[in-house]
Formats: sequence, structure tokens, C-alpha cells
Amino acid sequence: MNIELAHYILLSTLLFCIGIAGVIARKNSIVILMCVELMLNAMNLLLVVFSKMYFGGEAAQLFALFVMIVAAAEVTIGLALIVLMYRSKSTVDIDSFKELKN
Amino acid sequence: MIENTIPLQSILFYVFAALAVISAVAMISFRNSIYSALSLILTFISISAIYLLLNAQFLALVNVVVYAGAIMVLFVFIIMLTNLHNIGASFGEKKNKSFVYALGGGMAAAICLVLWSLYKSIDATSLSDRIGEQSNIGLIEFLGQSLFTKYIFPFELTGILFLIALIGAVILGKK
Repeated sequence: MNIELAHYILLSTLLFCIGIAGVIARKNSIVILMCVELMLNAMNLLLVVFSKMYFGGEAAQLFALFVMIVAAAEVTIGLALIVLMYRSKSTVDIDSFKELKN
Repeated sequence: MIENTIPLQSILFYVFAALAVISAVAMISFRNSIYSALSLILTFISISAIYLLLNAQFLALVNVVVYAGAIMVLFVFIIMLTNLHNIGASFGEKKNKSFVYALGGGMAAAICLVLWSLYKSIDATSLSDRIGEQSNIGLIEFLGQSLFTKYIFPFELTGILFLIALIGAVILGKK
């Protein structure tokens, strides 16, 4: 492998920052949840890269597998909550849900 | 023979990395949520291809099946259920300024981190040659063996986690 480690870190950091920018900028809560998934994937990529480059064991890849499992459960609950939000206000725009403000 | 495969791996890595970044940017900039979901599927497939290049075959498989398959199908279903009438209204005027600030700050943090890691990894990249022969660690056989012996307790815990998520989703959906 003659790809430098810094290029992997650059790719993962860029994906993570794009996810952060999406979470902050978008108003659709479904897209916000998708951006969270993108951030989890960027972190998983970094785990796999470091397991290949440094440790060489299987623990990091299994940890990435568990991150995927937890993300699947999280998406299930998150989308159920979004459906509930849509039923109460007929929109998924997060600016409509500011009852706790003031 | 090794010299022939290494440049191909590099080219494929850069192609898929560029594809992942471009489709991720497209995901947060499309106004239609369906297009965002399709771009995110493209990002996940690119990340799976990079997993394949890193000899993590099982993770690449799971990433395609779980993320690009199951999770994104769920997202597309929910988008179809909820977001049909307000397509194009997902960007607001009030958040655009904070969007620019966040994008600038995030990119600055990324560049700082990368420069720092470039500085730190000048002598560390030679480590990757030492572990080059352990390329079978990502196969299903080895991962499955340690998953069912050494990591059996967290593996069983994920079953309970899925049961809890299932019950929670059913209860939330019945309200």
C-alpha cells in the first residue's frame, strides 16, 4: 500500500465535516439523520484504516461491525420518532418543533 | 507482480474517495430528500469499495447489505411517507448564515487535522509495510471465529439491543 495514512485521514475527516455541516444546515429531520449516518460511516472508515495500518488485529473491524449494528437500531428508533413528529404536526421540518424554547 | 497491483489500488482508492466526497456534498446540497438519499447510497457504496481495498471484505459486505440496503430502504420509505408535499422547502433563510459558518469551521478543522497528521505520519507510514502480510484478517472466517468465541458476550448483547429497538419502534408506531 503506497497510499499515505494522511490521505485516509483526509477522506474520513472530510466526510465527517460534511456530515456536521449537513446536521447544522439542513432543516429536514430525515436528512439530518442521514448526515448522522454519514458521520458514523466516516468514523468506521478510520477504524478500519487504523486496524490495517497499525494494529493488524480483528478487534477494530469487529468494533466497526458493532457500530454498524448500533447505527441500525438507532435509525429504527429515529425514524419511528420522525413518523411520530409527522403525525403530530404534518411536517418533518425541525423549525416547527420549538415548544421547549422559552 | 506486486508492483503491478499497487498503482491500481491507489487509483481505485482516489477514484472512490473522490466519488464518496462528491456524493456526500451532493447529499447535503440537494433540496429533494430522495436525491439526498440516493447520493448517500452512492457514498456508502464508495466507502464499501474502500473497505475492499483495505482487505476488510466482511465489513464491505455488511456495509452494502445493512447500510445501502436495509437502512437506506427504510429512509426512502419514510421520505415517501412524510415528505411528499413540501419538496424544496428543506433549506431555510434563517439557517444559511450558520451554514456558511459551520462549513468554514468544519473545513478549517479538517485542514488543520490533516496537516497535523501529515506532520506526524512522516515516519509512521512505514509501519504499514510490516503488517502487509496479515491480509486475511478481514475474511468472514477469521472475524466469525473471534466473534463467536472471544466477543460472544457483546454479540449476544446486540441481539438484546435489536429486541429493544424492535419493541420500541412497534410501541412508537402504535401510538
